[in-house]
This record gives sequence, structure tokens and C-alpha cells, in this order.
Amino acid sequence: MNNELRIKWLMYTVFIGVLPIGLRLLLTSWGVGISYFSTSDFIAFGFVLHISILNEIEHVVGQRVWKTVQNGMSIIAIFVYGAFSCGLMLHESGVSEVNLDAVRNTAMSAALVSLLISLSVFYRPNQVLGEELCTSS
Amino acid sequence: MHIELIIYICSFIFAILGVVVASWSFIDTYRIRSAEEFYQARKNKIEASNRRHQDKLGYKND
Repeated sequence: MNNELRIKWLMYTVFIGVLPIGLRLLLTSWGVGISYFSTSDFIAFGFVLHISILNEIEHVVGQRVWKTVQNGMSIIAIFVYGAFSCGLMLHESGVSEVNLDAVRNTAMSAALVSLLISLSVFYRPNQVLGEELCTSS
Repeated sequence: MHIELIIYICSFIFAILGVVVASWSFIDTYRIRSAEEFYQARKNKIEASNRRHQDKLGYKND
């Protein structure tokens, strides 16, 4: 990716994904009676990151092995975040077996891992000079 | 209890996989960038050599 695309991607995905978390923290600091962190914010953040990774990978030329691994990882991540949403809905419907704190902690860890994955995509060049010499694919 | 356990296991597997994939991607990107620099330096050397050869030929023809 070139620098302009990188900045666009950072602003449109990471910033927008972090926005609900930041707003919640801002409101809490103003004394509004809500909890510091919400599970749904982290789930939304994870979804935004992985859907944008799937979109960005489309613009990468060649590098088939890397693209396949990143695509697979994003699809797995979307399933994991889907499971978190399912847990939230079960809790909302009154299933007492779902511990909301556990879901929130795991969603936070998963969002951190997703950020790491998206950084690894962010630093990847979208075209490799002399790819036949450089890559193993 | 079971749902909580399933969520913990799923997210643990995801976290391990994610860290492995991200590390591999960072290392591969570093390798590719180094190889690109090597490729560019080699290309510059070949071009310079070709230029010198052309200059030599031009000099002889004169």
C-alpha cells in the first residue's frame, strides 16, 4: 500500500472503529452513568477491522500465499465476533449461563489481536518488485 | 458454564492464531522489503554496466 492509501485506511477503519469506544470513555469522564467499556463496541471494532482487511486485500497484486492466509484469518475472526454477538443476544434473552464479563474480556482481547493483524496488513506493500525473486509463492 | 467455556476456548485459539499470523506477516514483509532493496541494487548495477558498455562501443565507433 502506498502512504496515501495507508492514511486513508487508518482514518476510515481504525479511527471509525475506535470512535464508539472513545465516545463512551469521553461520556464516562463527563460523569454520565454508563460503564467504561461495552462488549458491543469491541465487537463492532473487530468487525470493522476485518471487513476492511478483506476489502484491502483485493488491491494487493500477486502474493497469493499471504493473501490466502490473511483472508482465512479474517473469515475466522468474523465467525469469532459472530459468536460474541450470539453470546450477547443469549444474555439479553435471559440465559443466565452467559457471563457478560467473560464475553467482554474475551472480546477486548480479540479486538487487540485484530488490531495486531490489521497492523501487519497495513505494513505490507501492495506490489512487490521482482516478485519472482522475492516471494516463495 | 458450557457457553462461557466455549467462548474462552474459541477466543484463545483465535488469539494464538492471530498472533502467529501477524508475526509471520511482519517477518515476511521485512524479508520482502530486504529482497526488494537487493533487487533494486542489482538492477541499478546491471543498468550502469550496460550504460558503460554502450559508452565504450560509442567511443570505439567514433
